[in-house]
Amino acid sequence: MIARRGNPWLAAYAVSGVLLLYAPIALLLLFSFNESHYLVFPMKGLTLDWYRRMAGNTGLFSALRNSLEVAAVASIAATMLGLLGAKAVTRYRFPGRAASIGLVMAPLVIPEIVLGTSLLAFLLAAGLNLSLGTVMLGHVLLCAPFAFAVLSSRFAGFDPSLEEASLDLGENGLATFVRVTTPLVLPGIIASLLLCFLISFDEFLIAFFLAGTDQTLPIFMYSQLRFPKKLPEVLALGTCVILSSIALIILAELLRRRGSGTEQ
Amino acid sequence: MSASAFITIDHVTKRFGPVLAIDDASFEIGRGEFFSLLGPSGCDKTTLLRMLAGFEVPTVGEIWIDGQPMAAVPPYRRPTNMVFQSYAVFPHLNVRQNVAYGLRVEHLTREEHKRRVEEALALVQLSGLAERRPNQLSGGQRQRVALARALIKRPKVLLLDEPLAALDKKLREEMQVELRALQRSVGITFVFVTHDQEEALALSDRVAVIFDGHVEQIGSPRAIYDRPTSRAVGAFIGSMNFFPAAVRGKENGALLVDCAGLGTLAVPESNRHGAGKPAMVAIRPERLRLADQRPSGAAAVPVKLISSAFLGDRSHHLVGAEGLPQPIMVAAQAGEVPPVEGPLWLVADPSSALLFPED
Repeated sequence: MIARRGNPWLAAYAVSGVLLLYAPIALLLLFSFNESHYLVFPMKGLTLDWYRRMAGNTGLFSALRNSLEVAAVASIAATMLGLLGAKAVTRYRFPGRAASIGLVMAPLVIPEIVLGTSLLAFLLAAGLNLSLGTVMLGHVLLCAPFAFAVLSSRFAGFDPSLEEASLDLGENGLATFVRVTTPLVLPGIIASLLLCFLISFDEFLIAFFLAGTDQTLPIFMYSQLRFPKKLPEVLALGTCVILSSIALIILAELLRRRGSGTEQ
Repeated sequence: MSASAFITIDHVTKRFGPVLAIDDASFEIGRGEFFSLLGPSGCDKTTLLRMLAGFEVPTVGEIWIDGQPMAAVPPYRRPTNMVFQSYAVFPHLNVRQNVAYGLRVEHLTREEHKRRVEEALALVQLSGLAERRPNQLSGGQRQRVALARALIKRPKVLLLDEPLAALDKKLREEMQVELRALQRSVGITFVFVTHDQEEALALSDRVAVIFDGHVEQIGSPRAIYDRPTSRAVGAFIGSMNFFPAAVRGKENGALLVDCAGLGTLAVPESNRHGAGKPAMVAIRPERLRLADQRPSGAAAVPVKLISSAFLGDRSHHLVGAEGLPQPIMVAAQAGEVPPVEGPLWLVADPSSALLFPED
């Protein structure tokens, strides 16, 4: 058992890698409880003051509500589009199929700054006012490839004769989609909703370009950084966001695993 | 269309792009018949089945079921139900829900619904497992679910796509017996796709042998086995010995055939198949006999034993004859062990010899 004994250097390397990745986040968590405004050691003492102040910040809560709204709409819309797209490319052969997949996935590789700029130019040229609605549109574009990828793998993983069996047993296409397809891809739908929600929730660039006067939470946090006194409050907020993100990701992963476990 | 035809396949051709899956098939299946589509592995037989189910549309031709043209009828309105090769048992539903799946559209009363489900479960002996999930079932049990789910719809035609292929040999043989008994008791027309010739012979009233999308021969299992109309069918079904041959003349309605390795045989003229000059004699291993003394009154040739295989109920002997490069297979009853030493004589039954032209 060579692998069991392990190499101490390899272990040290792995541990330092993980530390490097997560130390900044740990610091954020730590200093959100620090009594001082300044991010320097030694810490002055522990306090929940920043969390208390954060709870009283109305600007923050309106930004949070905006972000939740945008994320909810964007994740539902992107997942619905992803569902239709995934069904199409996994169940049918049609001309331009490969090109369609490429076009849906393209926003993943187009730099967001380019995407943001061109969307802004397009919306202004189209005479639309910037609002939360335009942010939602941008986020749907950004989230769709993720929804499509998650749902495609879900569709590819189940036997198309299950849908045929339903047709054979007298249910038409729509009833088959409701009674067979949807329950079988449900874990994928939930995973896609959660993933898209998180992507939209902490997206900054496109929201910054398209938001108009309404602020989303990331934009609000960025604007707070201009005031050094507000920094610990932003740290407290960041800690809350990170913890809820982690909880959501774990939930999504659990659902995905439970879903794939029921496959035959 | 004859009056007895229940399913009519009328000049049906199916192409997938450049690929010809079914080439101008025309035949009829009778009401209540157990009809098999038999052929080597390939998609053509399943394509034919899927056209009956409505999942594929013929490129050319028409399919009729019980007097109705099927061209414009979608799968969910056809009087057919299918048992899929993968069984396609819904993994998110338990056994009872699977079996009852197709009843929703029939709008039955609650009592009638319950009665039909219990009946179907009992028919395939799954009553005790009704609350199980598919992933808690064995392959054979899943197959019973698929059967019950299709039969509960009381289809006019049950389509079965290699339903036994995934089962082990013992279970497969048990299911064959059950399937045949089931078909007799429900009286539904079964169309059964298989690549297993023994299965097709054991189960079917009639068999269609399909090679490369082309229907080679249709007939009873006995006819397909005893009187294959082409060399390919003869070679595919069971074992067959082939001997290069040439017709020398006629005598009392029989053809005198010079047969490499077998000498001259008098083959009935009705055993001649195919257009063109006969160039090949085919004889089944069980129509050949080995004797340790030259039999009187029958044509016999001296042969040498090459090897023997003991198969329990019978033995297969390979013998070599002069003038024939490949060995000849002879099937013998168990216990009839030929002496390894000493001369052996090979005796052929000329009435079962078949004449085919060169391919």
